[in-house]
Amino acid sequence: MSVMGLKIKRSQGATLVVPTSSMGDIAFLLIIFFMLTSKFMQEARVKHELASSTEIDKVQSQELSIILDEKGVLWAQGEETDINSLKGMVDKLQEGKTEAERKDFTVVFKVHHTLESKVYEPVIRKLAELGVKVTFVGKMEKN
Amino acid sequence: MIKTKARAPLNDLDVGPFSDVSFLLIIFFILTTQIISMSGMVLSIPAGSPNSEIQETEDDKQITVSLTNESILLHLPNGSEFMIEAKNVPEFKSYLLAENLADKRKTVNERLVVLQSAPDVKYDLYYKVITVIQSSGGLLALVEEDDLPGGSAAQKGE
Repeated sequence: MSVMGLKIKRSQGATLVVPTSSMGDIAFLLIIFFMLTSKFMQEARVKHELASSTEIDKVQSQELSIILDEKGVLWAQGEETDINSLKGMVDKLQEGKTEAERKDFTVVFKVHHTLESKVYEPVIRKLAELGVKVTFVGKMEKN
Repeated sequence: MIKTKARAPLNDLDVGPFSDVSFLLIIFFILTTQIISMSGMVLSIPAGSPNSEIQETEDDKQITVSLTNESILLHLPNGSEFMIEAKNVPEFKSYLLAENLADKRKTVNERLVVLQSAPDVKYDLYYKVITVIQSSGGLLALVEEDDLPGGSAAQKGE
């Protein structure tokens, strides 16, 4: 366009550029976070339903997790095991620990809610024998 | 005159696919991460070993709980006995609270609650009872297998 010899350029519409390079940075930060905080669900295949109580509170996950499933099969760290192997497992996990740390060693114990005493009591006795603290995991029941 | 080849200009690295891969990894971690926290109760069960601080005492000086699927039989050190329905765990708790087991002046032996359970007791009831014992300040103790009549607590409880 020219007006009296003056040329005016028609302005072109501004193009919107989304900077995607920072997306990768954020994504990698998130990956690092999840890698550090995640615990793979080793026990997802163990079928069990927890007992409930009004007296329980939130507890931390521990080094050794034991489950008695709906068929009364004993699982430790997601692997099928037997009661006599528990001592070896606890000993292995307690290697290099001080006496005080060994005293505080806590095992997470989950039992299917309908199992009978003759199945779960021998395991509880064994854990008492090993001198470890036991976290009895259950579901919170409302009053 | 020596002719040199002109270097090809460096193109910007295409980082688009990077974020795609990263987000796929994030989705994987989100799906495999255990987010739900656990609820429970930490119990230290006396082992009854020779070097244990718990000394053997006469049975009638300890609180004894005999458990079956139908009832909770509570035997107190003063000789009184209470038969409580298994579904009435809060009543069991009130009796234990009345014993003031959390009192710091009480010795370990005085705080002991000896639990005997029939072999068919469902874990649901057992769990409620042991958590009530712990929250009332009691120390859970299990009867030695050898001490059970006929090798099990059932006969005594039923």
